[in-house]
Amino acid sequence: MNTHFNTLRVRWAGPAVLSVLLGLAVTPRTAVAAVTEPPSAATAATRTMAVACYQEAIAYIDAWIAYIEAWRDYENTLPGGTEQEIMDAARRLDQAASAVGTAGWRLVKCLAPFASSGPIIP
Amino acid sequence: MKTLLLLAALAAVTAVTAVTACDRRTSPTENGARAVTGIVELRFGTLAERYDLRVERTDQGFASSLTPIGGGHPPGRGLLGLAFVRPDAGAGDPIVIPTPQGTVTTRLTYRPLGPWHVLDRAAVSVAVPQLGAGPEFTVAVLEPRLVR
Repeated sequence: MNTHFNTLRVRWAGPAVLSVLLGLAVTPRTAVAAVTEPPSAATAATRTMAVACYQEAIAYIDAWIAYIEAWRDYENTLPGGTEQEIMDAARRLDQAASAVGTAGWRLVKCLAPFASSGPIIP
Repeated sequence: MKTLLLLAALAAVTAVTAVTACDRRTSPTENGARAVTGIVELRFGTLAERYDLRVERTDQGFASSLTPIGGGHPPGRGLLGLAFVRPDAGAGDPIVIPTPQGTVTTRLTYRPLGPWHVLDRAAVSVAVPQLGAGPEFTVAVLEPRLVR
């Protein structure tokens, strides 16, 4: 039995090892490469980008604060305001929301080169 | 005889492995994918706008075009440079930018679509001590599809 096992080992070891090596050689490694990005490089790049997008962040937060003030103005106008006053407040609120949209888009555009992976689309 | 059978089995396994590897290497681009389409949705408070998105693969990268849906405003020229599609996923946590008036936090996620990565969602939130938390600004790409 022991002799038979040894014979098998001698006969099959070569082809088996060769087959495994050949299989490994032709298997793509793109999936592995995709997740081996050095985290330190990404962190440094994110910091650089964040600094570069500072003006966009300032513009966004200014627009955001203006929107909150327009919203409060709209709410204060509703109880006793005339139709014209309410319409004016609503128009200012829409304009403030559009300004946030524009500033937000610019900020996202600036920061987009640095993003995290999400779920796979089925 | 057993030797021949086992050799044949090993050769078959190797052949299957090679074919599978070749199949994985064939990206949608090689199969003819040349664009990504979808719907871009902007949301903030009372603002809600939708655009038809088409991103063409070009020699220089990706070129986006947005068409308003439902009578929305056409996006300004400066806004079209947003990277809706990119060749890699990138990496990073939410990006926090402190300003004198408050803190702006942006979270961007991309997800794989064929050989590329498509913007899944971008969300910008603000924390201002005097005003507290308010609505988030979000940009999302809905129903992304590869066009061959």
